[in-house]
Amino acid sequence: MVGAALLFWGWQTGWLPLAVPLAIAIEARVLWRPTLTLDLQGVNRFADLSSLALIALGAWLLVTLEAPRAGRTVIGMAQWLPLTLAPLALVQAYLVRAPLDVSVLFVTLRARRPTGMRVDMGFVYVIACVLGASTANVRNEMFYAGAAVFASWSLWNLRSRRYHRTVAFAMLMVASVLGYGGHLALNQFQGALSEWVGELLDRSVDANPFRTHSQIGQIGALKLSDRIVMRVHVPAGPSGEQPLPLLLHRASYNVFFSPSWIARPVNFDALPGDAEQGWSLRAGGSAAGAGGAAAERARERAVEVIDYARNGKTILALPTGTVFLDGLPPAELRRSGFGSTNVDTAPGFLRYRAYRGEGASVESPPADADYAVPARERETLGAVAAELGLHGPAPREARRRIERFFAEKFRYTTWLQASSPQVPTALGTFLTRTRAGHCEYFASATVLLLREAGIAARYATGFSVQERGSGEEFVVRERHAHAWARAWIYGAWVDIDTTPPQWFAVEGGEAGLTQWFTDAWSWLRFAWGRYQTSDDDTVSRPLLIGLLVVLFAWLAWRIFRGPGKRVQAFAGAQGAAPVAGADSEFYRIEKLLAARNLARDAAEPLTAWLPRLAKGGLEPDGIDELRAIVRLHYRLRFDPEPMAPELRAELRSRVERWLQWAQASPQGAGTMRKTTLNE
Amino acid sequence: MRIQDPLMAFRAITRWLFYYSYRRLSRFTHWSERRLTGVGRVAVTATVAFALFGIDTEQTTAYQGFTFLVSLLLLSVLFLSVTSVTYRRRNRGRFAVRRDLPRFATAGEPLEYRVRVRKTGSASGRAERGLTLYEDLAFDWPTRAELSRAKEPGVKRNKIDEFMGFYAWTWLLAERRNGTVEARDLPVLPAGGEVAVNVRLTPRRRGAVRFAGVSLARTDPLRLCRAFVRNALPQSVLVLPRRYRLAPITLAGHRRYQPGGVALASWAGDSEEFFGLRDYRPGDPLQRMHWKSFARLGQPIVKEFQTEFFERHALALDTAPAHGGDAGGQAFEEAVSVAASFVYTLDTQECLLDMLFAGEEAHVYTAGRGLLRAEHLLEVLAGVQRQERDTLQQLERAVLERRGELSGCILVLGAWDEGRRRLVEALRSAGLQLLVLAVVDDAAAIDPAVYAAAGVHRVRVGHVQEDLLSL
Repeated sequence: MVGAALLFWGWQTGWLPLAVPLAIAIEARVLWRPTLTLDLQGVNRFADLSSLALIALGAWLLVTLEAPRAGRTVIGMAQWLPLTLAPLALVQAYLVRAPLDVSVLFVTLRARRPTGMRVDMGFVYVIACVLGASTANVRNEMFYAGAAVFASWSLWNLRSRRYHRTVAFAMLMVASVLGYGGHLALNQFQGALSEWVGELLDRSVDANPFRTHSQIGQIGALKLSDRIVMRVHVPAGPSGEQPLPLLLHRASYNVFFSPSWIARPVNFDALPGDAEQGWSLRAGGSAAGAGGAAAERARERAVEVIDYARNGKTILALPTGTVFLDGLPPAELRRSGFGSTNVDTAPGFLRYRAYRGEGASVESPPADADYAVPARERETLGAVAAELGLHGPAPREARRRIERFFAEKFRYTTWLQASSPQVPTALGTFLTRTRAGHCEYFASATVLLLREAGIAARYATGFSVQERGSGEEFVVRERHAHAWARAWIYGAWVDIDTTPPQWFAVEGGEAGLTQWFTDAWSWLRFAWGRYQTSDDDTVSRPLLIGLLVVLFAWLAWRIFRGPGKRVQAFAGAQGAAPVAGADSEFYRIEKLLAARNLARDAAEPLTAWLPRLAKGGLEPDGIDELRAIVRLHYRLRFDPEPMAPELRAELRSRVERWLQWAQASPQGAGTMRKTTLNE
Repeated sequence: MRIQDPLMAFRAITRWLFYYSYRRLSRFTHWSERRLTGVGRVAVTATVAFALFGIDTEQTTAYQGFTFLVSLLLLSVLFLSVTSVTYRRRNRGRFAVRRDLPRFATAGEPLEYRVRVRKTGSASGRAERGLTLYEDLAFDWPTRAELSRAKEPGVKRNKIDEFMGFYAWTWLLAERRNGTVEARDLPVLPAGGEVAVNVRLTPRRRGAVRFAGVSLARTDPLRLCRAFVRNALPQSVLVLPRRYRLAPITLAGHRRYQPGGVALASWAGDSEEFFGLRDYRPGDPLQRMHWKSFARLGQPIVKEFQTEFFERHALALDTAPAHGGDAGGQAFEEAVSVAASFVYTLDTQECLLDMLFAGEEAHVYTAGRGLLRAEHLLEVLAGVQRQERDTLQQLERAVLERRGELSGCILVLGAWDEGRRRLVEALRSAGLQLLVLAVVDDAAAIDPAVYAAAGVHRVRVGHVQEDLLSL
């Protein structure tokens, strides 16, 4: 069965060339009937060899695999289990036939008493083969069939004889059917669950390109989290300073349906490009991807973001005017007319560079919905627009007036206030009564005032990058999520952020006490993410390999040195003392006779063996002498008093003489002659 | 309980949590060890492995193996629970189990005894195949207070382990169970027939091993899980202390006149031992005349008596508390073992042995020809407890009361300190021939020269056999 399981593994994983010789090597025991044996120490050495091979494999995979490394390494280690465990399987097949104690598998258990749990390693090996085969992820029925066959095969041999075999057979059949249905259901259930959980978890951070629900009209304190969601590298501008705050845009919306903003219609189109070449967001906008010195310069000016995509699907946060993207792992990118860039790739950390370019907007030009003001807000907005004189001036002047209006007459607060009963809407209350709110109020009001002034505008969401992290980097927390207005001015979309700049400080002041800890944790997470997504490993990889080598050497030393002594000491304590008289020369006679097909049975007393020898054709004189030798041998073995030296010598010489006599007889023990014996 | 300190409160709460989780865990482990066969355990382990690797059903197909194994295990449980109902009803009261248990066992020594299982009912019924016999040991769960007091003897744990107390818990539980019994497969049990199996019990320490009953297990067709039929069969076996080999010892001291001879209780009236008959010699008292022989032979015959002189030794065991050190009571346990070794080795056919120790009062047991036998003394030793109060004075008085009859005294101490040194001095100054053995836990704490100066043999815990052989 072990051989068959190996072949199954080879077939599923595509490593038949390896599996076939190994299977033959293990199953050849049927032909060869080996007579070798191995003591516990030796078995442990082989087990350690297996462990070391597994660790070495893990280390090698960790260093060589592409991101996400950790997950792939674990799966890779599982896949190669049949190879790493091969030494143990061979030991079980050839050297130790009896089941082995579980402590063989765990170095930590060896120093203690044997657990008493004995397992046939062949059995374990079959499980390892099936587990290894599962990682090949061949999505057809053959894996399930194979797994069911091997499990049934093993259990069939071990079934209880208490019941008729049809009962066991029926049970296996029913289990196969149930298991089959179960695995289909489980797969579907997990799909549904991950979708649901994903939605639940991602609601706070991940933008929905179709609709966003604002806190407008709510009462109470705004809930803000300090969790770091992104790390951003912002390049220095022409003056040498970083242009701050930098807005990273994720989604825009055009229809205000208080308190929600909705985008319609949204059409996602696949972006041309791939991981090698990068992705262009605008036709012909691949200016930076060309290579050479220009590309190097462009790369220095690019904004680099490290983000975490839990299930591999996320909306990228990009600065306004991004025309080109690269650095992402192999992924599918799609973009909507509202400027949302959707990515679908392997789960884990993402690192990407966004290149900004001049020229036409990458978003769709305004439509009618970008000019519409909701009927309920029209009255208030009309009054405010009239007060500011927005009906008439050029777009630039209108923008300036709106910006000044908010800067001079409004303040920022995270406290959400109740609507005034005289004013029909929450936004109206904000504009005319409270004049205080958070970014969603400012952005919504700005968009609608711009539209009142005849300028097309959209409500944009994303992050505001301002907090400096360690070194060159900026950190983006969940509470840095921001909303602002986008206006179509002179044929381009322009970001207009009217939220008072104090908002950042106000929210930062409310940071929780635990921020320090969460930041430290986040730093570790992102360090790991950065390592995983880095494309130049020139520094870290040798370091990692060095560390692994040291670890490996230490483990090897521990395994082959430390426990060895403990095991020895323990063996002594257990009373595994050498058997008295184990050095008796009598065993040579036994060996000789065994070679002449007169072997003693496993539990046959010597006194019963001697008469049998006589029947087997050994001469009576030989038997008599043997009887005397046996008496001496028994004395040596079982007398609690140590044997006197002269008796010991007698035993030795008599055995010697007997052996000479036996070997002198030409055709085996049956024709031993009296004369030679008496000399 | 009034808790002043938040740290104390935290400790109290965590200890409470630990205690209950350990109790739950121990119950669960016991349950799973019983309910799952070896194959079942491998299957469960494999199920967990497949579940771990198949946690993302899109990445590997391991989840398929997981569902198959889960189905198997569920079916096996279902099979047993369904069949158990009818099986129990059909076999209620039909298994008769009997244990042929010896009276004594020795701590640490495996003991084999027979268990006979009979299935009553018509001989035409079905034979029982593939049954396994389990012994159910009775024990009381350690309480929370006992857990916090518990300390494993001879093991040093780090602070965290000490605080968590898990090792102490496992040790305490093993002490409570006080023995392990291996499960045995029964041969085919014909209906109306009887089978017997040898069961091996390994007691852990002196005291008693209590049995609650015998469970008969059957498995499902695939041998993954077990179901049980329990038979109450309360019994117990007394566990004698562990014994060590002693080098042949010659005890110091002379033979002493023993009033009453050997058979103290076998003679009433004259306090000398009957020796034989002889002819009358002038001067013999008339009370010694053997009238029956006089009548038979026609000449005066007198009875002759002999005054008995022989050795009488005392074996005094110290039960006083050890101040400092020996927190786990291991030194005391070893002291009991050392005493048991002397009881077992001294030939009570040749001499008398008084065993003395102080409990609530001073206890004296005498072994010798016609008196108690060595086993009786061992039985007593199986139940000796260390006392809370200082009993050294009591022991001293008990030994000195017998000083006139004793040839010598073996004093086994469970520690070595000032009080014990005074006891030894007091006994020596009373003119007793003393052999003093001090069993000490932490041998390094006191300079070996101190023992030598006091004329005391040091016996180190962990090296008892070695130290006893060098006496």
